[in-house]
Amino acid sequence: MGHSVLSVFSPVNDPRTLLPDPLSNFPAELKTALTIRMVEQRLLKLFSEGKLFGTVHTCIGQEFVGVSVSRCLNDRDTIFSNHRGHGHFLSYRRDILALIGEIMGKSCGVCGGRGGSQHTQIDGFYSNGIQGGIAPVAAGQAFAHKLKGSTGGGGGIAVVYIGDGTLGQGALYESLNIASKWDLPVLFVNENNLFAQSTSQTQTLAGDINARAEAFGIKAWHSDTWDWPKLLDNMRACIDEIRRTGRPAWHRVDTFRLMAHSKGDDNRPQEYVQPFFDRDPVNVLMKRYEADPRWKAMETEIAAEIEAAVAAADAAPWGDVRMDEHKPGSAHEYHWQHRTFEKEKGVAAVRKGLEHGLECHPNLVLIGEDIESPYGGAFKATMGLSTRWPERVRNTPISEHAISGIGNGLALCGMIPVVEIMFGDFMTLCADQWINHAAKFRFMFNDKVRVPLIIRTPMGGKRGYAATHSQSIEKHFVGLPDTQVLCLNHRYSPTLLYKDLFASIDRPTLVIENKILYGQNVNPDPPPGFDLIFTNERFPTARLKPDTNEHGAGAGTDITIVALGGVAVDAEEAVIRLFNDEDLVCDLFMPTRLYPFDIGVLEPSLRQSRRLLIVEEGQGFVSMSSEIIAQACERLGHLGLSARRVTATPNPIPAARPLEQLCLPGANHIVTKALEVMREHANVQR
Amino acid sequence: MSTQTSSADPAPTLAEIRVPRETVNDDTVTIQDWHVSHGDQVKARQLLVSIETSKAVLEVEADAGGFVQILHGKGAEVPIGELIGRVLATAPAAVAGASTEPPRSPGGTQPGNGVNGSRGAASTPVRSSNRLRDRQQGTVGAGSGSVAPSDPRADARGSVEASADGPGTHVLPDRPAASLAISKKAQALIDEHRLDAQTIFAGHGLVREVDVIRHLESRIADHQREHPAPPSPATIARSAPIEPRAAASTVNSAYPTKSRGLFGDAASSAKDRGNRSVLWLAWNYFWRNWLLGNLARWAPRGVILPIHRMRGVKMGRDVFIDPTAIIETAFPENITIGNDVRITAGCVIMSHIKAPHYLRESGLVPVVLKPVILEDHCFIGVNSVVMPGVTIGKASVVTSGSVVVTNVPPYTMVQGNPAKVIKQFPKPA
Repeated sequence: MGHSVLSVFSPVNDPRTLLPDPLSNFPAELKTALTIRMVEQRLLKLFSEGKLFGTVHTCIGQEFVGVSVSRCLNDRDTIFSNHRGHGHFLSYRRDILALIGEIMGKSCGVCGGRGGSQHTQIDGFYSNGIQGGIAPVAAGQAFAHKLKGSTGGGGGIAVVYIGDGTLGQGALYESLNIASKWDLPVLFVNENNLFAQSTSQTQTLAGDINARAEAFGIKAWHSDTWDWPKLLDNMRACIDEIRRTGRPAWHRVDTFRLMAHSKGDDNRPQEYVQPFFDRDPVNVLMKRYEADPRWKAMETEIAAEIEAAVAAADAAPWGDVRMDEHKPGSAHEYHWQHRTFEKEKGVAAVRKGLEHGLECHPNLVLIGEDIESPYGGAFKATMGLSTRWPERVRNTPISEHAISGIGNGLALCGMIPVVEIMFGDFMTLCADQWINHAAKFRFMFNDKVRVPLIIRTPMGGKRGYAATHSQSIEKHFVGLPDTQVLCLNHRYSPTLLYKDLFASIDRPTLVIENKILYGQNVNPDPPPGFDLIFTNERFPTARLKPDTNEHGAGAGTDITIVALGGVAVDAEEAVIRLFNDEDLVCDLFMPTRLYPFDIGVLEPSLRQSRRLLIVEEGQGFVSMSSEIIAQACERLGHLGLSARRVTATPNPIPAARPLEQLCLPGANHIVTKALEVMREHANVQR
Repeated sequence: MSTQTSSADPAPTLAEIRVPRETVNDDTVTIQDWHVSHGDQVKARQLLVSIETSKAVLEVEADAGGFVQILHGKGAEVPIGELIGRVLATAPAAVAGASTEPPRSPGGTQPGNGVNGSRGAASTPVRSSNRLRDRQQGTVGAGSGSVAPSDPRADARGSVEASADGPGTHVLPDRPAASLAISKKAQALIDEHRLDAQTIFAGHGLVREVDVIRHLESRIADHQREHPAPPSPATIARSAPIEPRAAASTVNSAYPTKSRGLFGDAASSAKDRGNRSVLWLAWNYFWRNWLLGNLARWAPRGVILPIHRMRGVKMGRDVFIDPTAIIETAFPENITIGNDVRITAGCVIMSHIKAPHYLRESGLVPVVLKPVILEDHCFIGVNSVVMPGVTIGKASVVTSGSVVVTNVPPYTMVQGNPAKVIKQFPKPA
């Protein structure tokens, strides 16, 4: 250990210079701190007894951080805690059974055993085991508080606890930047315990901690847990200032984790840890009040509470993993109907939908890069909206991780955030927020919260933007339970889709728009000989149904085609060509919902044609098309289906137009594959 | 596209009017308004036309003075770079409908009326030839034609319900009017038969080759109804079996083994002979089977059918029988063939089974004599065998090398030994 122990202790914060009688001055604070300490110790004992599944991150030595913050908060405020959050939880809500039950995995736990040690939620308290990612979420909560305050709801503040290990995460700095620029009432509490898991700060941290915050124009405070009375004062002053100014603040609190990071992974030498043991505030207090009957009574009371909680949790039943949707008997019955909408350019229809949302939903917020007027977004989908709703339509810095995280924070606080990611390719930067935050909150917080987050992003090529601005990478974002992925096509009005989405939003939703669609007409008029019909779902599947005059069974449709997103245009062209030139009748389905996807919508058509062709603009390997074929085989494999896919060639997308045309699915590719599937199936018994 | 190209116009072109690319979004744009009329004289840099893109309204001005020729009218949707007009040195020929307001192209959209500022046709000198006017106010300002419900919240609530069953939706079936598409193969047939597709197939959607074929078939059927031909023997056979005597089903063998007469086993027993006399048998063998049967196998195609008819085979019109086909060796009168039947090379159609003495007399394989009926439009593939008692239904196919032992339903394809159904054809209504 190259670290100087004594550097963190100064004579001023030496614990021996304590108040005359802290127990009478701060009875509640000391009781909470002692509770945290005793609960953590009991959890370690439970772990040794084999009663805990998984692991347990204790905060022994850091109790006063949570205590100092929670005593200044009110009902409107929110807290985002991290993987080491037991202390934060107990200081926010002193519910021992809820915490112990949760860590023991029982239904009496605060999240029914779904969340465990790292994922707890109660009222305004949330925690997640992702370093860095929680910072933008807290910033988003602060943004929601600010917006609600501005509309008369009374503003709260948001608090986020980060460790010194989190200083290595970029999302933190994106959040600091936005919090400062937007004047968000958020407090970043940096628990500086000198170690990230097993790695000493001396190996990983460059420069000064507080200078980081100050560089963003955020006031940085500095306290430590050894001089805890001063910490309590500083924290109150700090939070009062946030409430007064509405500005963010950074509070570095030096502290020390006395026990291992998790369990059994402490390789710090005893002689290094021992001085911290001796100076630990709770240890010092215990020693000081060893013979005090008040302290003894407090200890006995807490111990009794803990034992009662352990016994109750032990006796409690296990929870349940089923969500509402998992209930049986929810198979959808598909009815087909006509829909009427205006024929107009895709981008205008999207803009109308967003405009409608802002008009009808006062809690709807649009954020994204370059979306404010006069620029109005890279594809002009938000043109003019910021002039009418300047508060709720905001330009952001180039910080995809943070803005999607802010979306999550807004969503947790009852807003409807609509985050525009300028190019779908940049969704990779939102992956953490989409996968580890948005998709998880509802389930792991035991169905107590909803995340109505909407991310809009254009994908697709054919514009010459080459490898990093042309991809269709939706396959990396579909399939997360409790999320939905929608995609627009030229046969269903984006205005209607967004209206229905805003009215029904209850889960994270990714809407994939297509660059080509923006400049095309959304067209309700079918070509001659076809009928354009839609399912009776909220996000319908459009179907270009051939209007054939057939009498016998099995002779109507030759091929069932599914086109996902923007390639629907090419598929439609191919369908018309296949009819004109080859006398083949194709039934074209254009779903607007990619996930969840139900093969049931294709079933009647597939039973007739027994030939399936799927057109997808992205890569085919482990993709939506693979999924559809898998579902089709599971449901209808006995019919002897033949299937083909038209997907992008396996290489990055080139810039030159002729090269791009070779790589991305076009009408020619679709016709070729359709004839291939016809040939294969020609001799099969029908 | 409504193009009023005056290709014969000799006037030299001074300037072309094209759609400029101004935005990455659009491949096509809409012509919002022409500020001049076809044939008008314009000055250089005079405002000519407003073009609506997804982003803005472009205004295109004349690069040179002259007479305007309009190629794409108001409301037309044209690709980027398209030539939408010219400035000519002399007045262009007047084209019908192109004088002041050229007809709108069928795919054209109605340009937003709130956007279009009424710029007069007066010549306003400006610096650049293409100017971009921001549409921001027009897009979201009040009365921009966007969604503006009277009670926005109610509309938000009603939106989902509407998607299930409400205004804006109506229940199937309801086919859009006047939508008829004809495939190239179908069109070729239509042209060949000079059919009036729009009338015949009115109410159809897609017209395929098979639809035209069915129409032609039904026309033939109508024709036959109006001018009845002699009824198909197959139909008669179905209603009244040939002759009770000939249709005698299984003839059990219980006659003495020693009585082998002049004609060998053919003269075995009266029952085996279908209660016919031995003399009849002799005649039969000599005339119908040996002479005519062999003659049919060597005869030129034109006389095959009359020979079979002489043998006693009941046959309709338009039948084809290959010379190498064998149509029953002993009891041709038990065979009934309908209209338009094709019996190809090497086929054997049998109406009797006569096993060797031992099997017959021990009762293991009784003698069988049953009529065979091939209904209209049957097709018997090469080297197929049709066994006694089988009826092959209308328009059915026996594929090559099959052995048919059971009845074949109409509109079916059978294959194999014993022949099994492998395909059902769609039946006409």
